[in-house]
Amino acid sequence: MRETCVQVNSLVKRYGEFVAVDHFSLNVGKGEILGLLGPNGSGKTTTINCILALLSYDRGSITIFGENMTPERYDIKRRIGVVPQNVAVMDSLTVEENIDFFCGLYVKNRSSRRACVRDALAFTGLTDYRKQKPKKLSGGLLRRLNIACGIAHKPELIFFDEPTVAVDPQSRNAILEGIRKMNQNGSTIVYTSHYMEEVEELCTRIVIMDHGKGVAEGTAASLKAGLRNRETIRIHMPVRQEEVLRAIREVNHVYHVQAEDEDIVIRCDGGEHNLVHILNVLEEKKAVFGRVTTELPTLNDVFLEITGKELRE
Amino acid sequence: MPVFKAVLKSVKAYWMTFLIYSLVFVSFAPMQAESLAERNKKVFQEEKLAVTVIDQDDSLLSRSLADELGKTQQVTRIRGYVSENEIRRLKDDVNFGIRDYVLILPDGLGQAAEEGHTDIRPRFMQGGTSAAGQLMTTRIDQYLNHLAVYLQSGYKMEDALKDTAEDLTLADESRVVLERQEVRLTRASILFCFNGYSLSMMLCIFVGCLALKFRQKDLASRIRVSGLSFWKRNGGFFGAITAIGILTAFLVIAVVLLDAILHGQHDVPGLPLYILNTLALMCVGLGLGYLISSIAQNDGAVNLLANMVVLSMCFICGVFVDIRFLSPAVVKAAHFMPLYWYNTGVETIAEHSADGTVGEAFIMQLVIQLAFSAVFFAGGLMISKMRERYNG
Amino acid sequence: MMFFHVFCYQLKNFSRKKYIIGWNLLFPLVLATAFYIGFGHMVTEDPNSFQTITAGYAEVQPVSGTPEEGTGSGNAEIFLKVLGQLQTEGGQNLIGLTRYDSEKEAREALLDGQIEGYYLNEGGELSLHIREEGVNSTILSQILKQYRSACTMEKRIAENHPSRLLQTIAGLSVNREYLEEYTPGRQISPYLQFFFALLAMSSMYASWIATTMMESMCANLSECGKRFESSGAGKFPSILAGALAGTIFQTVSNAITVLYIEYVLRISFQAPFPEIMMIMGLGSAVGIGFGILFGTLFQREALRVAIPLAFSMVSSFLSGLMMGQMKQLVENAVPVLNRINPAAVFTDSLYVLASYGKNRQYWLDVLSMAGMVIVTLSISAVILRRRQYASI
Repeated sequence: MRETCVQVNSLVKRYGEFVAVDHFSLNVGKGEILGLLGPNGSGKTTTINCILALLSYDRGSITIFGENMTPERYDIKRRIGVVPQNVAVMDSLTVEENIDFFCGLYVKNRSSRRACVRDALAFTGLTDYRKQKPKKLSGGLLRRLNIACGIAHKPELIFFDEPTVAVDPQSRNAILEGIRKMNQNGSTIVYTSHYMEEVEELCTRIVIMDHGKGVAEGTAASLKAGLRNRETIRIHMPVRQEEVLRAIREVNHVYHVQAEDEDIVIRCDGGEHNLVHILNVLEEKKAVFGRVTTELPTLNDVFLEITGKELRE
Repeated sequence: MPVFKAVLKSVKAYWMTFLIYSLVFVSFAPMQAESLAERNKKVFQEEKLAVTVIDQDDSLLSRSLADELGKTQQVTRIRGYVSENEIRRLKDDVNFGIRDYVLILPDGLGQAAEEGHTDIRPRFMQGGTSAAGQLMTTRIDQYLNHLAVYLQSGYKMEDALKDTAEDLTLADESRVVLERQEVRLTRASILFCFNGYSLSMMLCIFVGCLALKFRQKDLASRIRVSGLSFWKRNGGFFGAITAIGILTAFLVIAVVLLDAILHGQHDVPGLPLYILNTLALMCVGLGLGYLISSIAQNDGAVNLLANMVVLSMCFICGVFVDIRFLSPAVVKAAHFMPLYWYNTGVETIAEHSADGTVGEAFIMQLVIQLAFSAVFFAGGLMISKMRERYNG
Repeated sequence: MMFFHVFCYQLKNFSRKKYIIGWNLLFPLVLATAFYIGFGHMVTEDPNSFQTITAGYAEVQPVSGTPEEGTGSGNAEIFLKVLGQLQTEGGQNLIGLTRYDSEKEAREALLDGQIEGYYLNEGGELSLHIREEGVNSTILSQILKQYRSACTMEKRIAENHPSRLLQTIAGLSVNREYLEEYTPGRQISPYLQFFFALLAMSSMYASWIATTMMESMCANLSECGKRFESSGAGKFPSILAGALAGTIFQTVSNAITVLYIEYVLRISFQAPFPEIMMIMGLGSAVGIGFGILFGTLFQREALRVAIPLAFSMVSSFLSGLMMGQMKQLVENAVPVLNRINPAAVFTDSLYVLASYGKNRQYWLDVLSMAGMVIVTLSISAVILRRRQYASI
């Protein structure tokens, strides 16, 4: 059983009549990478802001490292790092100065701070850009600077709020790799995103939010295991014969067959070698078909099954 | 039309700027007009000064002197002791021209005058070595000299005061002929003068910020690749800023008219000419704003440049400080600034509003302002083209 | 240590922001130069200083054979003698007289602007002809009245006390100066008030420095603010560190402006530099204090730009930036406004220091400014302390 790093109990946050966070509970264990997944407007950022004591909330409780979190708990804040959704750096300072400034809000000792800044520059690959101002950096480098400013002081707990938005794939991979390293070095990570692929790839545990509520929680595998659909096979078949479709429906573990444009989509609720069985049926019936793909279920499928809509709607 | 509408809608974002400068105009311009405006006069009237008499003596002499001054000046009397703070305040009033003169009649003055010694003397405070102060000192010395002659000739104080007053009253019947009818700046003309600041500032900032916004690379490209022709795009923009200029100009004119109505005037002499002059100033404001937008990189820079240019011009071209007080070299240099010609236009109208003839001089002033406007627009276009070429 | 850390970085932040350098350093220098060009000479030389009045004299000869024949010249000589004797307290001639051969010549000279008026002697009857009203015309008119009243007095005494006539004539020929000038403190030019108001405006612009600082420190104002507020830095000590950095930055800017005005433009503030700098420091702190309060109260970006602008402009205008007399007018009409307007308190402290030295009023002004700093920071502290946002 992991030690609890962050405990949120029945958090409620309203903006007037609108309930942004609706009795949301969260438990972040020490050393894990917790993914907070949900569509835009699901309450992820509001939850993070409440945890950081930036926002007041209407009901519930929040503890970090076993202590109640309030705006004046600077001792707790010094152990936390934040990488906000939007780039939060000072335009008039250089890359190195930005990291030094924000690191200096946590680390008082000058020589320690210098070492931290050096490490952060190397970690984020910004050493060559240290004398440049943020205006001169590309989107990806800016995001790296944003991260560097949040982690330079080597915090125990780090909140990443959608850090890869509008970032090129190379920078994105570098960011994800960096986060893994930080976790390996002992930091607990809370990672929010609406990109399921990232969360699936990176996080040890996932909480899915929608309309301010937690709708599912678990590892990626356990969440998908809860789905009926274990495999989706898609076959390009412009000319469909009813007889063929009937035969496919009779294959073991096939529970749903649907025509979508020129494809037929077959969902299977378990079993192995489903594709082989279906191809055998097609050969038997001498069906004419084209491209065949098979997909394992994703978190989007989990979300779709729980909420009835796509993650990216 | 789409560009025209977009520009008009975008100007709403600057409502706060409009509010601030309108408030400045509505608050400060009438104050300036109140203190500077003079009415037209057809017969000679002596300069009436604001004089404060501090009568610490309260004798027949001090009261008579104050009464005598009261016949021709705007006298405020203070009887008895006055604190140091009050004296300093009066001195500051004189220094800043709020009062013209302060006369202090010390205790025992009347007694000393009757006994014929001058160890107790009236004291005065005036602003610098001013001509107004000189006038008052001369007048009071004249009175006291006159009185002294009577007293030395054996008159009693009461009779001397009475005869002195009568002599001066008779002397008031002196014939003074005003050879030229002087038409001074009216309230309306001072309000229009203040426009040199407020209207120019508002238009510079509106047009500067709007032009900058619509020149933003991506936005400009999007508009350029649309189906609108060159003329429609640019015509829309310039049409919109002209509409904004005209609306702002007429709002300001409306304020002047309202001020006139509130002060019991049913019309403003020379109003059509003032409107023409204001529209010429509007063109200058639009052009200057466009030029500034080609140099500035953001709204803050537009504000800064507008303030620097317009405010500096206002001080050099006679908007805040009477041009009569500026040195000849400065007045010459001011000829190269549009606000000078606007200001001169206002004075021309004020001078000729009675007879309605303004002549070529006024037309020249209008044309020069329009020429400045054209130069500013051309300059703005050139600079923005050059920047596009170098910056991409 | 963290205090010093935030202090250094905020100082770097301010000194690298172009619009802060523009508004807080460059703009005052530009405006000071404009003031100097416009009316710098009026600070060093008093424009109201007395200049000898140019006047003319002409005679219209009476028709031969009439009773007036021969009387005009006698009267003329006495009158001309009186004119020649008139001098100011400083020994300057009051009148610069030109004698013309005919009325026509005198009138041409008057309309040409060569003289301000001319006396016309029509067979002993004196009249004054002037081109425009004003103080000088009034002085000329006064001289005529003085002459006439003296003539009346002679007649009266000749009738009633003929034995004292000689005494009277002797008395009339002596023009004693009864009044003495009283000048509490030092006389400084009223045009210096413009420069004081300029420094006040510059100090109030420090409110922009403060709102910039608050933006980077408050979660509801920027992303940087969010990062800052979630950090381990104490909010209020950090804000104080930033405030100190801002105050020093603004004070240095003001110092540069003061040095520029005093040593480049050669306009003296009539007070020792260290004392001026103390007021600059306090004034800057007042601007910073108000800026922090605005940053605390207003979340919308438009308001955070407009409110400091409006505050700086209105308070500076009321302290005499556009109209030198404004502060004194307000002092007479609504004195409480001058006590709460930080720009007015600032300019008053400089004026009092220059005019009267460090008297009670000066220390009251200093204490007022200190009080404003404490009040604004206290209100901000109360609001910011433990503040959690309802929304960011």
